[in-house]
Amino acid sequence: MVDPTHPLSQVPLSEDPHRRQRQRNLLHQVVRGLPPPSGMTERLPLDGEVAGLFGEGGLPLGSTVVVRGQQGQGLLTLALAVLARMSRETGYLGIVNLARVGLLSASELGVDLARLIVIARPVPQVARVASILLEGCTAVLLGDERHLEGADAERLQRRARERAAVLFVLDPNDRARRWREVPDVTLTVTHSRTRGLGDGAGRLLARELSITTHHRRRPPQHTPQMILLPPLVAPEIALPTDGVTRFHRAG
Amino acid sequence: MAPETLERLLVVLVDDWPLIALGAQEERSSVVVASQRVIAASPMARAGGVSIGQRQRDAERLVPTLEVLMRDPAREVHRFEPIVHCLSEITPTVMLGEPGWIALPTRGPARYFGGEEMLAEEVAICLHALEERQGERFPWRCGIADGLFAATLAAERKVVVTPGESAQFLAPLPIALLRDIALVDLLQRLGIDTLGALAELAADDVLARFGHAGLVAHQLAAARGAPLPIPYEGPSTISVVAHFDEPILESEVLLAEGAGSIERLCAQLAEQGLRCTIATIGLLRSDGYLSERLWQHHHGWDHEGLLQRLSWQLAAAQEGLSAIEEGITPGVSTLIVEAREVLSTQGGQLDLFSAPRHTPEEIERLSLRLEALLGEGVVCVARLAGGRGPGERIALYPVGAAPRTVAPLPPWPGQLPTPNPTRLFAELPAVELLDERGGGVQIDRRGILHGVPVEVVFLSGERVTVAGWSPPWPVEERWWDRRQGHRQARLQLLLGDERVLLLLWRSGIWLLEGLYD
Repeated sequence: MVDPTHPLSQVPLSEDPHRRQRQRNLLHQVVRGLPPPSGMTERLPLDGEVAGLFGEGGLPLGSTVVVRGQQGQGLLTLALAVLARMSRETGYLGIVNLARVGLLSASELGVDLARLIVIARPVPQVARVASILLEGCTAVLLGDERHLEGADAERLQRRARERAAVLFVLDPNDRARRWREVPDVTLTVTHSRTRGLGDGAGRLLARELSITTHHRRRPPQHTPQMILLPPLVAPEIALPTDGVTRFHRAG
Repeated sequence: MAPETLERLLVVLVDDWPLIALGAQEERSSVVVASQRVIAASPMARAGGVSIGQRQRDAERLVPTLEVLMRDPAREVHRFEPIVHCLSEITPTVMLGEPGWIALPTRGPARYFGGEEMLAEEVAICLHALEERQGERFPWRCGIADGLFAATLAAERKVVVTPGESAQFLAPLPIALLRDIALVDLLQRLGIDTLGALAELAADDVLARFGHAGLVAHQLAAARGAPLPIPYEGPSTISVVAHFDEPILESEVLLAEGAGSIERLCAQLAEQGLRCTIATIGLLRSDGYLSERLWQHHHGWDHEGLLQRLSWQLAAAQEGLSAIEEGITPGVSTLIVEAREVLSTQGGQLDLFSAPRHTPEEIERLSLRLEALLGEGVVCVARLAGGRGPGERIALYPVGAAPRTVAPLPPWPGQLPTPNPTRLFAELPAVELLDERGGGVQIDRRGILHGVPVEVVFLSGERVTVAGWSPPWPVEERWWDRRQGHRQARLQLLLGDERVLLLLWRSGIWLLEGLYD
C-alpha cells in the first residue's frame, strides 16, 4: 500500500485524469522502489530531427495529429518520419487507405517494416478498420478519409485517447472533405524547398520543410520551424550511384 | 511483495478444439488453419510431421492428402457449450477464455465432494456421461494446481498438484512454456532452461534485468501471486450494474445495453490506468435464475472482446432456457459486468527491451478480425525485396504468410538512390514531358536525354512548369529476351509548385511512377 506519510502523498491530485494517473503511477513507483517511468512510457518516442516540433512536452500517446499543407509538399514524409522511431521501439504502426504508400521510403525514413500493418487497397469501412487497428497499434496513419463522417472522426479521436495510441491524419488542403474535429496537434507545412535537383544535374537529396505546430492546449506559435527530411548523411551525398556515373561516361 | 497464495483451480483442456468443433474425423489427416498457419492438427496429421504454427503450405507439402479446414470461431463456441454446461453443474461459476479451455475454482466443490481427487473424479464422470450422451469423444485432460498457469500445465500432464507445491511441480518444466517468445529466447541464451531456474533468481534482479515482462514470467514460474497487483484505492470493485424495469427478451436489445455497460466499465478501468484480466458477467433473469461466468484474458479485456463474450453467454443462457420450458420466456432484468482481477496497464509499458506493447499474436488476431471484415489478402505486412524500382523493392504478404526471418539482401546495382518516392501509382498513368518548342522530351537507346523539359502535362490536362530534373537512371532488364526485355529509364522531376515526381520512360512514353510527398 502507498505510505500516507510519504512526501509525494501530500501533493494534491490533479483534476485532469491524465495527470492524475501519472501522479498515481509515480507515487506507486516511488513507494515501491521501482524505477521512475522513462519518457517512453507515455510519449511517442521521436527521432532527433522531428522531436523539436512538439516542444517540451513531446507528443503524449493518445493524441490526434493532423498534418496540413499542399499535397506533394512532403506531408507523408513528415508523418512517416514522426512515426518511425515509435515503430522501432514501442509498437506497431497501422496504415489505412493510403493508396500505395512507397513502403521503401518508409523503411528509409526509419520505419520498422516488421511492425507495420498495411491495408493494401482502399476500403470503404475506414472508421471501423481504423478503430480496430487502434486496439493493437501504437499509431494509426489515415491518408484518405473521404469516407469519414464528422461523428466517426470524433469517435476515432476518442478511441485513440482511450487506447493510448496516436492517430495521425493526412489532410491536404485540396481535399473536398476535411478533418473537422479539433485535433490535439496540427502540423502545417507552410513551405517546402527541395535540395539537390537542378537543371539536368544532381538528384533529390532532401526536402526543407517549414512547419508550424499548433497545440490545442498551448498558445499558438507563429514562427515556423525548419526541418530537413530525410536528414542528410554525409557519405550518402558524396557517392554517386552506378546509374549516374554511367550516364556521365556515356554523355 | 509478499508471496500471495493463488486460487486453486481445476482446468479442463480439450486438445485441438478448433478441429473437434468442426467435426473432423479422427482417422483422417486434417488441420485447421487461420491466417495460413496451422492452429490445430489431427493425430494422423501430426504423425506426418505437421505441427502447430506451421505454414499451411509446408503442412500440405508434408502430407499431400491433408484436409485443410478453415477456422470457425462461432462454431467452436457453440460446440463447447455442452461441456461448459456440464461442468457448471458441478460448480455454478466457471471461468472461460478461448473455447477448448475451462477452469473451475476448486475451493467450494472440493469441500463438497470430499477432496480435490474426488472432484477430479467427479469431473471425469460428468464428461464421460456427456460423451456417452453425445455419442462422440473429446480428447480432454484435466488437472489441479495453484493459479491459472500451473493449473493449465497440470491439466496438460493430467496431474493434481498438492496445494503449495506448484512451484516444485513447475521447476523441471522447460522455460519455453512461457508465452513470451522474445523473453524465452533471451533466457535460453543466458542458460536459463527451466522454469525452476528462473524462479530461483531474486525477483528484484529479474525486474532490473528483464523489466516487467521478466517479473511477470518470474511470478508465473514461482507460482506466486498475480503479477504486480497494484495497491488499488477507491471502490473495492469496479463494476457496472444495469437494472431494467422491463425485463429484456430480445438478445439484440440486451447486447446494445451491454455494449453501453461494457463501455462504461472500460472507461472506468482506463481512467484508473488498469486492465482487467478476469471479468465477471452476470445475467439475472426475471425468474430469479442467475447466469454468472468468469472470463479470463491474458492481456486484459477490451470492449469488443468482452461484448463478444457477453453474446456467447447470452446465447448459452437462452439455449438452456428453451430446452427446459416452452412458452413464456423470462427476460433479463439485471446485467452485471465486473472487473474481478485487475492489473496496472503501466507495467505493460515499463520495458527495458523496447518490446512492442502488443505481442505478434495479438496483432495476428487483430488482423484476423480485419480480414473477416475486409476479405482475405487485404491486411498485409511488408518486407524488403530485391529489385531496381521502388515498387519492386517491397514485397507485400498477407499477415501470417510473411516469412519470419529475412535474409540480408545482396547488393543490387541500378537501384534509385535514397530518398525514394513516398507515394507510388499502381496504374502508372501516362504523362507528357514537353520541351520549350512543345515537342516531346525523349531518352535514346544509350540512356541520354534529348530536349530540355519545360512543362509536364498530366492525364487530367493539368499543365505544370518544370523547375528542375535529374539525369536519367537507365535500367536495362532482360536484354537477352527480345520480347520481354525492355529498356527503361527513371527521371526525377521538380515542378514549379515544389512537387517532385518520379517518371518512368518505357517503350517511348513517359509514365508517372511516384510522387515524393
